[in-house]
Amino acid sequence: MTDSQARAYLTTATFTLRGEEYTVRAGSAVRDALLKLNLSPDAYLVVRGDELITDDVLIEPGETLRVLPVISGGASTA
Amino acid sequence: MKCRKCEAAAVIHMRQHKLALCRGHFLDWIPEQTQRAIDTYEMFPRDARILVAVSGGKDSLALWDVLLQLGYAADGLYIDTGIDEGIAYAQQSRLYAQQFADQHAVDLRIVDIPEEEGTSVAQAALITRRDPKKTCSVCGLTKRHAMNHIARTGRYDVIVTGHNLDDEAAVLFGNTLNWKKGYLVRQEPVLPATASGFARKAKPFCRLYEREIAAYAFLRGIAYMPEECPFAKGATSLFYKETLNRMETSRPGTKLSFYLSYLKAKSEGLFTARPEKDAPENACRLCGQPTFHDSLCAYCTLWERVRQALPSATEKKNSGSV
Repeated sequence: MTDSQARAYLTTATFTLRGEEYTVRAGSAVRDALLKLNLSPDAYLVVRGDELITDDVLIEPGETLRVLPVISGGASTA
Repeated sequence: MKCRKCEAAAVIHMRQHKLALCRGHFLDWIPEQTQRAIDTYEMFPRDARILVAVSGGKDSLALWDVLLQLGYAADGLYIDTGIDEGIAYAQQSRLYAQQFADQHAVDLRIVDIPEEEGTSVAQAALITRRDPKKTCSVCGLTKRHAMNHIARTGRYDVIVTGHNLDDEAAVLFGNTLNWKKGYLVRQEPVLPATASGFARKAKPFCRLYEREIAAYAFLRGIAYMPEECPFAKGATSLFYKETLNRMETSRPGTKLSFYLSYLKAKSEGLFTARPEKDAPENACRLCGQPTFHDSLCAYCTLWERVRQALPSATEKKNSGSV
C-alpha cells in the first residue's frame, strides 16, 4: 500500500448504492455524507454489516456501508 | 443515538416524531401504529375477511406480514399484468409474492391477465393506441377491476393496499397542484363499499413513511422485488416524492402534516362531494361491475377493443373470464 493509498484508507470510506461505489469522508456523520452526495436522508436507509444505523452515526475509516433506496412504485391517481 | 425506550442502539430515527427506536422496539412499533390507523379510521373489524393486494414489493408484503402478526385473517391477491420489458418484471414479482405466501402458509390468489385476457397490459396499452407512457393507466384500471371482482366473488369484507404516507402525500401533492377536485374528494384512508358493488378499500399504512416500511421489511427479512416497474421510470409521482423528501429533510414532519392536515380540513368541509358523481348506479352489461356508463364499464370497453384486435384473446375470454 502506497502512502497515498494508506492516507485515503484512513480518511475515506465507501457507500455502495445500486451497484455503484461512492467515496465519502470518514469521520463525518452518515446524514452529512448523504447530503454531500445530494441524496435525501429521508429517501435512504444505511446498513453497516447486517444492521441498520441511524444517520447521526460517524463513518469509520475504510469501512463500506450499504445505502438502500426506499422509494418504489409507479403512478397512481388516487 | 439510543432507543428512547431501552437505551439500546437505535436502528432508525423518525425525525417527524422525534423518536429513535432499537430493532426490537421498532418491530413492535410498526404493528402498533398500523393497528392504531385501522382503529382511528374504522377500516375493518377484528373478524374481517381481508384481501391484501400484493405486488411483490416491500409495502404490500410488509402490510401482509403486519396484518398476520396482528392476528387478522388475510389472504393475498397478486395480479399478474404480464409486464416483462426484458426483466421479467411481473414474473419476478409474482415469485416474491408466492414465496411470502409459502413461507407463511397463507393463501395467495392469482389473476393472470395474459391468461385471462389474451395479452399483457403493456400490449393492451399499445393496441388501444394509448401513449406507451400511459401503460400505468391501463394497468391501474385492470388491477382495480380484478381486485373488485375477486373481493366480491371471494366474499371478502375489505381490500387493503400497501399505500404508505409518501404515496398518499405524493398523490395529494399532484392533485393539489392540478386542482383535481374529483380525486381530492375521493382520497381517503378508507373507501366504503357501495350498494352498486364496489368493495370496501383501506390503506392501513397511510400514516407510515415509506422509509419506515422499508426499514421494517429489511429488519423482518422480507424478500421483495427490488426493481421498480419499468413503466414507473420517470413517473411524475416519483418526482413528487423526491420533492417532498427534500422538503422533509429541511422541515421534518412536512409530509405527515400535509396529509393529516388535508384529512382534517376535508372532515371540516373543505370539499363537498357531489353524490351523483360518487356512486355509479349502472351495472356493466358484460361483467356486472358498477359503472357510470350506460353499457360497458371502462375495463370492458378497453379489453373489448383489445379482443377485437387479438382474435385468440376472444377465444380465451369465452372459455372463462376475470
